[in-house]
Amino acid sequence: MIDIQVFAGLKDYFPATFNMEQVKSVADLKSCLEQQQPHSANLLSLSRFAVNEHFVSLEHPLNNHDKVAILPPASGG
Amino acid sequence: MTKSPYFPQPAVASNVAITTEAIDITTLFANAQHATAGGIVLFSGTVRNHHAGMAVAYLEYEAFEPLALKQMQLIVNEACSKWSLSHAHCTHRIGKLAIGDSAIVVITAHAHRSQAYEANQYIMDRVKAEVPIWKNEFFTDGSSAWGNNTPPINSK
Repeated sequence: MIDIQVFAGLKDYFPATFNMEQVKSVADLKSCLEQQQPHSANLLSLSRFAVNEHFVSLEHPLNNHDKVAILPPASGG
Repeated sequence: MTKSPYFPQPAVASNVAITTEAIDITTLFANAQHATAGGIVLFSGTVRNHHAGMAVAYLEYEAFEPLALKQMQLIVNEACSKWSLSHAHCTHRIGKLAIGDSAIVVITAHAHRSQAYEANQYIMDRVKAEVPIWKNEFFTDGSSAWGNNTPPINSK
């Protein structure tokens, strides 16, 4: 089970927190989410991914109990 | 060899914070006073009442706090090394903010003013681009929009 947390505009498409199973990598997770919510694809493609509070690339593998945060482009300040 | 107290050393401990409370600018500024600093720049990013021609009622900021704090610290540390700052600080407020509230304060202190200005802008630019904090703008017509989702034309 992978724990997923999304922020800002991604909450228009997904719950703020949810779980997924059988996703092997960040790229795999991203394509699953795009299939679930095709309109989220643009924002997902602009977003950064963090696993266990570290920024990671799309190739990063996912393991059971990993905590993934999906971070749209920043708009603080 | 003893280090001269008159030569600016990179700040040892830099301060970053994320808070839901009003930012206490006066105290932050007082904390930035340093014997080696001839110039202290304090930037406050405040909530304005309009965006892209629309009247703003209030803002809400959210953060992915653990990573936001790490990234803020990294940026402030890099600025401290790059300019040998006497002091550097960055606080970002989150939650609901009213027009005129300070959303972010960046303070940089250096022996000379030009470096203090440069370092301050460097920290602000990188925080806006890299730190996982988001602004949700609530307009007086009842609509709302997340910042950066649909970048408005001529947004400056």
